[in-house]
Amino acid sequence: MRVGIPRALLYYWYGPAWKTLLTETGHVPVVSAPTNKAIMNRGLKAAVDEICLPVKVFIGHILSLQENCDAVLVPRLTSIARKEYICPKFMGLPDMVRRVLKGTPVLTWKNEGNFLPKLSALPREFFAYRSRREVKRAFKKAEEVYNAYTALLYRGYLPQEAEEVLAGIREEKTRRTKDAVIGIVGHPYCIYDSFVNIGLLQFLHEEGRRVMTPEMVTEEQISSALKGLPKPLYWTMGKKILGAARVFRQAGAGGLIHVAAFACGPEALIGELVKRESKDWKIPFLQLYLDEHSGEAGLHTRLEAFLDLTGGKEHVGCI
Amino acid sequence: MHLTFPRMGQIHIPLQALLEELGHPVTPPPPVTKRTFDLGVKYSSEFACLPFKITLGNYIEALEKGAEAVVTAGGTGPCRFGYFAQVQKKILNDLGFDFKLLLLDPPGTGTKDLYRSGRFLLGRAGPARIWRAFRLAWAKACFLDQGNKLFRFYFPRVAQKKAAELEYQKFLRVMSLEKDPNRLPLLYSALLHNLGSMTRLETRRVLKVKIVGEIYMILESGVNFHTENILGQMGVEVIRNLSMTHWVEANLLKFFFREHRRRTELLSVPYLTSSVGGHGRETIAETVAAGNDRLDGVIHILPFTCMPEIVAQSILPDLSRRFNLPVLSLVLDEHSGAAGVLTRLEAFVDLLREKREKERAPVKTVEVSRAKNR
Repeated sequence: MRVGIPRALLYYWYGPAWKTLLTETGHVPVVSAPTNKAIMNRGLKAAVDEICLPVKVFIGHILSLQENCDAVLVPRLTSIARKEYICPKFMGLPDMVRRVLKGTPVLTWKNEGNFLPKLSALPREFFAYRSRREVKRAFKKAEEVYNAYTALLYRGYLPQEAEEVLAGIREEKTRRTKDAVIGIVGHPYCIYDSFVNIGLLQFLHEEGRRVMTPEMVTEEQISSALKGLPKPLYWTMGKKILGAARVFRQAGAGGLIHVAAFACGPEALIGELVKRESKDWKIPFLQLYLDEHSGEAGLHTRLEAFLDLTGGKEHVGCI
Repeated sequence: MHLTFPRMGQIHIPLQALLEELGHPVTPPPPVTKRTFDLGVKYSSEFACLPFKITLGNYIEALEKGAEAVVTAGGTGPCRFGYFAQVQKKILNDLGFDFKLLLLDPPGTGTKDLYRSGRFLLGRAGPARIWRAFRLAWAKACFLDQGNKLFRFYFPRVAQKKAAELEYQKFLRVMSLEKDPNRLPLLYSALLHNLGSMTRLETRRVLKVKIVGEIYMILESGVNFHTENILGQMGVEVIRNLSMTHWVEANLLKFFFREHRRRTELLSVPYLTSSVGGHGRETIAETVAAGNDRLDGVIHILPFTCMPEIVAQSILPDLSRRFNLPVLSLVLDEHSGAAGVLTRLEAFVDLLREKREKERAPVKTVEVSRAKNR
């Protein structure tokens, strides 16, 4: 069976693992193309107006997959750590997708506590012609791939590069240069989808800035940075963002960029905390809200101004 | 220490009774006005939801009036409500307000706030007084909800809307002053009598519209531009399942009132298979219930950027089609205007009237004799 994996939302965390899982269980994974104008427009048309851009893009990916796939993979990720949640939109994702997709079945699972589903939570199609043992072996393989992938991310690879290393296309080499560091915080689907953020990472690369993203920070670093919060954060991604911002500051980042989708729910509160903390630290801070109307020129102007502020000058409070 | 709390519909009446009976002076926040909006919007982050901004405005106004501590609830769900208090405290502290936060977090969130604030709040009273305080507050909450239900039923049916409204305001006023729980039923029956005597003869069936959505937006009429009143003025009966007692039963006392959750799950499961936090699931369930009850329409009120309600909103068109049930989604934020809401409500009600006329129109019959001849 050809199973489509949309290259959106948490693909940037779990894509390789899901691909392995599907290959090992005898399916053909089909990953959608990187986001482009056509995909976004399809998503915009099909989704509700009020929803955030990443989900609209996700729906666009799903629609672009439905022509050449037998099923589409839409996991219902409720929580991937104990007593923590992802955004509520992820919980309703299969229900929202089922509404726009006509015909193609949606392969969905429910999961709590881990990003890989329990065996019992998997749809029956997964087991077609496979023994239980084979499926279990596939799970193990997927977990190994996930661990290798996150290890690469911790070492400073971007998801795209890490995937290429895993596939053997790119050579593995140490890559840490002594440039000025810019910390970028935000959800993975805002940072790494270069269509959604209009080539933010590439722009910074061309300007000769090294970037650090939340995916390069380990779990232990984050949990130690977040000690002393008045109440533990219950959003996995929010935790990652606030923790990463604190870690970047300790690592001596010259500036912080917060990338969020327009009307993103958790970001409204987490972003507020990050903003107020970076004001206390006196680190230059730029908040970028992305939506379908973002333009390249506007973004670049703001980024250039921000980089001028971080480069060389003494710390200037800026919000 | 003067206590204050956020406003939500009539919740300030039982809450004030509770805290005063427990021996604390209370400074309730003033009703939501333009100033509350302005203050809240000015100091909170742009994409925080309207409840966040309005409650922040409430706190500022109450702290200006001399409150020294804020009593509020927390949560653990994926909805942002659970983290409101922490962020709002940071914002208020940055603004230079010094106050004590009495947070009532549900147990199991890893903080000791519930114990600490519980000790502070109950510390001044003995068991008998605590029991009395809770009894009075709960009785008030129940009668307020009942009175509100009554008002929603009679308001579209009375001829003198202004008099009925005044009657209801009077009921709220005496409810907030009454200290004896045994006298509350009398106040309620007075309201029943007064409203009942105002009703006019019903010539045509009153339209019934259900209001679903985010609980704060539904209950706080200052935020939803008095939607229920506007509908009542137009002669539409508003049906609403969510209320403050319902919230307390379904959230704080969920162990004793399991039927709420069961009902929600059973009704919503064909359309939304998991909980999405907040009241997303309730919205779906109540809309299904409205479809089953053959109500005339549903109005879905949600704050802009509300995550659970957006999930519900994207499923609602399906329900609308399936039950042949018109649904109006009102997404409100600080930029919404009263005139815009009024126009949309008027158009929606016109649509419902038209729809009903059409459905009641006699079915065209074919003349039998002519059909036979062919």
